[in-house]
Amino acid sequence: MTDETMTSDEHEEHVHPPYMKVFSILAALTMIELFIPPIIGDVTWLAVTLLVLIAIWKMKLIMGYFMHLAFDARILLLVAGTPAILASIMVIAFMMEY
Amino acid sequence: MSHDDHHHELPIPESYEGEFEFTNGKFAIWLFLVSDAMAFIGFLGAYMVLRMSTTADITPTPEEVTLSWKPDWAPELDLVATGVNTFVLIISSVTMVKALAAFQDGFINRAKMFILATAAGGIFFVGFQVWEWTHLIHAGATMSGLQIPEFDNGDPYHPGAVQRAAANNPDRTRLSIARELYGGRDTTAWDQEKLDSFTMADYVNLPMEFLNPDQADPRPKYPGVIHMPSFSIPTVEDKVPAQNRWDLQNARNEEDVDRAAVLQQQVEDGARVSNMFCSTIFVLTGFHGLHVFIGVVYLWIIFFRARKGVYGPTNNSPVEIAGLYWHFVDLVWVLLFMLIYLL
Repeated sequence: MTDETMTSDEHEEHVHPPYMKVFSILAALTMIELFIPPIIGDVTWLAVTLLVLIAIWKMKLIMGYFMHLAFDARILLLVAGTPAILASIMVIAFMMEY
Repeated sequence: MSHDDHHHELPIPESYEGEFEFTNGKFAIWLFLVSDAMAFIGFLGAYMVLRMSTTADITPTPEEVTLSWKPDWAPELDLVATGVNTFVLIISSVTMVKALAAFQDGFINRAKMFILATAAGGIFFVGFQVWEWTHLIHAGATMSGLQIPEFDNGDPYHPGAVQRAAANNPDRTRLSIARELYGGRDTTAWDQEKLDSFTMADYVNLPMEFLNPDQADPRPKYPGVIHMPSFSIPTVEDKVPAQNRWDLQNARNEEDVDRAAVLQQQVEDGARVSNMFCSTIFVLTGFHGLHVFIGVVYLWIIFFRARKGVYGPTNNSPVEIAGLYWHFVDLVWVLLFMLIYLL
């Protein structure tokens, strides 16, 4: 099948990140997440720790590959990372309160 | 150096070259996403504080509803259906990056199809949320609170217990029934005036010892319920069941019981109590759903511009920017899904 809007001048092969591999990992992690509450229980320390770790892993994959932060200029990573640091401080402060 | 030369050669120091290999638009969307993330983090922080500061799932008496996080008669969230919706959102993120890749490689038609698929995923996601909200609202949950259901007839704390008992025991007075049902309870800890006038400001101004649940917490205490300091603000709606119980407990004559009966009827007619579980899930999923909706509109604009041939291998930065917004929506959902549905 040819793409009629593509010309040889325009055609420039990019090396793309392994999007389908990232999708497979994200889908698998989501499946695991769904099984954690029925198996381990809703609000146990083990369940909370596992779910938080999986969520961080998923967010890292989305930001790194889908949002291209793993390949982009480092200053974008710094910009994106700032609220993560502030949010972590806020969450730790909440945890100390309760 | 002529004026023209100066115009074309930007005065950027050599050391900066390569450091800013992205468009202004891309930098701007990142700044926007960062500020938007802080808004979400604020909401999520409020959710965590409110959830941790209210009592866990219990079977509350009507006046305890505002103090409990999620009464066991509150509508349940559908984990499996939301799991499917989460998959749809992840798939839409993949189609988005595939669209950008297709633009970069010059496959414009394929790119347009991927953009449409992404928008379709967004429409499915929002559609599911509309269905979920409809289900919740029908079950009595709204942003302002939760409808008190008909309690089990056998429950002595049922708002209609006195009338039911009186109907079954025509030879007894309602006063004697009310005293039997509620008279044995210790009401010394009750301070109705304080309960009625308690506001957020009172919590803020309370000395620390009052915030210790084991000490002089002015709110009523019940056996078997651990009372944590709560930010639930009593409203007029809250006072209906609270006043109801108070009147029955202190009924001195038939008139008092009748007055309480009117309030009981209000409860049975669908009185609402404020409930933090309801308020927070509607705010969080609503704010996120609004983002998805805006994303769908954004993608349609990208699609129509792509149809005009605006984007190609050398000009696809706007597509990448739209993609960053879309992936951000997916990113936030990872957190919301975990905190609201899985925990």
